[in-house]
Amino acid sequence: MDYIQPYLMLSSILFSMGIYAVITRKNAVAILMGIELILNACNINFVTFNRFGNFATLDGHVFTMFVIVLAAAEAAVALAIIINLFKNIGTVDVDQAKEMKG
Amino acid sequence: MPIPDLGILLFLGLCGLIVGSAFMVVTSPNLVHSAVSLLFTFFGIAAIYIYLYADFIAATQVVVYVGGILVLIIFGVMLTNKIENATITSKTHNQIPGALFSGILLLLQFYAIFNTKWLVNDNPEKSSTVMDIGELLLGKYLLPFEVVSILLLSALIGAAMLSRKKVD
Amino acid sequence: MNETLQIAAFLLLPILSFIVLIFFGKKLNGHSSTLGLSLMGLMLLNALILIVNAEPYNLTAKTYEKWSIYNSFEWFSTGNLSVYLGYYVDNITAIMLLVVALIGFLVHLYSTEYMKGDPRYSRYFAFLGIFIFSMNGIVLADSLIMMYIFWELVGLSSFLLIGFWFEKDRPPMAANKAFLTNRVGDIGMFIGIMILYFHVGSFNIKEIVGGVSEMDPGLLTLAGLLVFMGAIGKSAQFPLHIWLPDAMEGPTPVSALIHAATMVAAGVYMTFRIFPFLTPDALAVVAVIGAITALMAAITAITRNDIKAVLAYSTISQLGYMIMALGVGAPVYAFFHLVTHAMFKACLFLCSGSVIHAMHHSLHHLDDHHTDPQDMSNMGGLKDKMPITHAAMLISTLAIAGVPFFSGFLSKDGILAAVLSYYYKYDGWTIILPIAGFGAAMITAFYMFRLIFKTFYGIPKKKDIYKHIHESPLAMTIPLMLLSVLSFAFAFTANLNPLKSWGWFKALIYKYGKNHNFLNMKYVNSGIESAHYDAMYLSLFVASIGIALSVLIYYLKKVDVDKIANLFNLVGLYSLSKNKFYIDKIYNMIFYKPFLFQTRTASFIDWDIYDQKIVDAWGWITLKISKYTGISDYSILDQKIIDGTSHLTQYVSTKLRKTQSGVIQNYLLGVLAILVVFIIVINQI
Repeated sequence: MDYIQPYLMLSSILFSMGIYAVITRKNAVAILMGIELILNACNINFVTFNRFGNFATLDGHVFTMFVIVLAAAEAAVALAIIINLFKNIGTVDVDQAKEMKG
Repeated sequence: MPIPDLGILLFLGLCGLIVGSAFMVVTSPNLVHSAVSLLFTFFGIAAIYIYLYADFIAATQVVVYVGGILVLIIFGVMLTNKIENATITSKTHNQIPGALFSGILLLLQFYAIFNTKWLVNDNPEKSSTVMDIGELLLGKYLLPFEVVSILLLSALIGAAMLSRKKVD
Repeated sequence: MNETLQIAAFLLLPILSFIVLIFFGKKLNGHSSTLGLSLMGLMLLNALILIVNAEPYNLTAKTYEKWSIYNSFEWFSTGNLSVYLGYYVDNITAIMLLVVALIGFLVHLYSTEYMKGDPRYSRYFAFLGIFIFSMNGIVLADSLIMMYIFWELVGLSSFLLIGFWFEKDRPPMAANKAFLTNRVGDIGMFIGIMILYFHVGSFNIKEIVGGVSEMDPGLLTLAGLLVFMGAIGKSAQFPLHIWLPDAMEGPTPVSALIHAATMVAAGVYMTFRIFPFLTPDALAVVAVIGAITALMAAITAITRNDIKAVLAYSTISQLGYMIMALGVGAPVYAFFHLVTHAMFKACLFLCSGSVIHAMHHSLHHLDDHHTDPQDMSNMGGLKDKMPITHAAMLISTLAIAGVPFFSGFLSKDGILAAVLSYYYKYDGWTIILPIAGFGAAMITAFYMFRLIFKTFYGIPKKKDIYKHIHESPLAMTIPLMLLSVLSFAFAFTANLNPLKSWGWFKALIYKYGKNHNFLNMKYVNSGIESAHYDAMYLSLFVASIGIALSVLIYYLKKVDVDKIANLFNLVGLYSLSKNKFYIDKIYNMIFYKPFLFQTRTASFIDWDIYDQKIVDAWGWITLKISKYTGISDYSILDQKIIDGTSHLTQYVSTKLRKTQSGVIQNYLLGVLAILVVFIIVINQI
């Protein structure tokens, strides 16, 4: 596959799906999955541009590494928060956590 | 009608797998199903990385996402549901506006993808990217690398700290 | 460079004296006079060196070196206006510098004794320093603007010295009067200078003399007379002469230096400098003013009883002579009279100072603080007690009266000759000039001898005062002796024939009578020559009449004073003289009273009408306006607009709070929607 568009299309589909998940899912863990999808879409873009772009070195790959690390950290922290949320209100549905309602 | 190249066929198959499993991730009411679909998605993406000559990233994808993050997520699913719930479900809301705006966003991205004159520079495949990435990480990106390490460490410690039972 | 330094010394030495004494005078105190005196001595030496350089006119060879040194530098320059300061030194300047330095030096010497014991001893010498600085500035100035600056500075130092005893009542008043009266003249002078600058484009006197030929004669007459107004003020000419008699409130040495010899002569000096471009019309006005001043002041002097007041009016009268001489086209004699007058009038003033000093000490001894030490009716018979003062005063009186062998005769004779020739030439109304000239000469002789007789002869009026009178100390009598020597004719001419005035002095100044823009000076000079003998016999005649009358009335007492007074009073002359021609009263009536009336009216308008009616009405209007403003402010602005805004805000926020569901995903949806719109809009653009 020597065309750039299919990869970008794939990544944009994943990104949109991730956004959809983040907006529609009530369960916090499901939202986290959506975020993982978004991050993966972003990773695909990094690597794609590194392959097709005018780069002598693998900077895109390095950034993908960083993103993966961040994703791991984010997942860890997010799960800790979700567990705390569950402990406090007995559910992980984010629409139940609305103490901020005006 | 010429027989399409096997690589392309495989690519299309992978794309179908990824999109299909991702669709399951975002729509399945059963959270366990979603998590399992996410596994397939991650694998598919790892395969896509191979197409992009990114062997090390593909390996990392499998190790970190599949082996680490996905396990964490499944833990999360399991830990946050009461055991009496027979099916672990996730309700949804805002479907129509969410679908609408996501769709528009997708269309806009497609519009951008097809209307941009991409500079396509077909870089040759490298035998191995590991050495180059290693040199970059410990050379040009040494400082971000160290910062990110500390971030990861502190995030893990913080996560552990947060989920601990409070001891008075 | 050497020359510049030598000239600059005339300004630097006195200003040094001023600066040192004004700042360190208190520490020096007793020595401050020594400092001032030694600096004046240096200046006198410098002036003597300078005058040796001056080239005299050779009568036989009819050639003279045009000796002059000058230099100027730019003071400032803005746009087209460039103002230069500089000095111009010729024979006249050198003589003036010598006169100022000599009399300045003698007055310093005299003052060391006269002012002894004064609490502001050093300040007095400081003021003398700044006066001599300013006077030298006038003399050295090569441009009218620089002259004007120093003109104001002498006005200032005159003000300071007249009001020196400011704790008394009258000196500050007199100082104010002198200053304000001078302002009137100075304003005219400034306008005149500006007119000349506007038309000639320069302040330099030489350039103005060369450049005025282009000007309209009428305008030039006006400009010349305006500049001459400065001289009217400074040289105390009619109608601005009223300040000089009052200026006698200052210390007597100051009167000798400033109000007799130098500063009041500055007006004559200035008119002398601008003489070449004064039109014949302007000169006629100048001559008439001089004549009026000379006669009027002389008549006024007759009835003065204050010894200094007699001398003050005499000074005004003699200055009138000089101005008249300039007016009739005899600048040489005007300047000649200026110098001789400086000598004998300074001597007279210093003599009167000596008398007053003696009187003062005697009164002090008697513990009498009410008797006026200057009043001649308390004196008499002082001749034996004060022989040196008497001799000096007699000599200078003979000089001023115009007696042969004395300097006054030479110069006054020249002036009278010029006046007479002027009458010969123009006839008609110009008869008043010789009448004033000779009349004033007669009256001068009369009142001066009256002064002598009342002061030094006869029997002492007050025995107890007379007992304690002593001759003044040496520091005071040396200047008297020196000045009385200089009042002899041989100081100015080596010619033994008393009727010839040619000598070293006239040789120095002779060439200055030769240049005039409009008059043919050769013709004028020959007229003066031919009228010379007529004038001389006539002046000798009137002077002897004056002296004889004086001897008859005051020495021999053959005629009763009151009878004479009554006789003259038939034509009102006596009361005119007694009341100084009512000039002060007239000024009081036409300037002071209307001014007072005007101020009162203004005050009435300001307070009773403006303040009470208009200003207070504004207050009332403001009160009403603010009342209604208050109502509208509360009921419209406050109730409707401001409260309305808060009600609106409350309503909107009640509606808006519904969007704040607290569900994060709803917010995210909004963010997404806006992002999408944003991207679309950006792409459209």
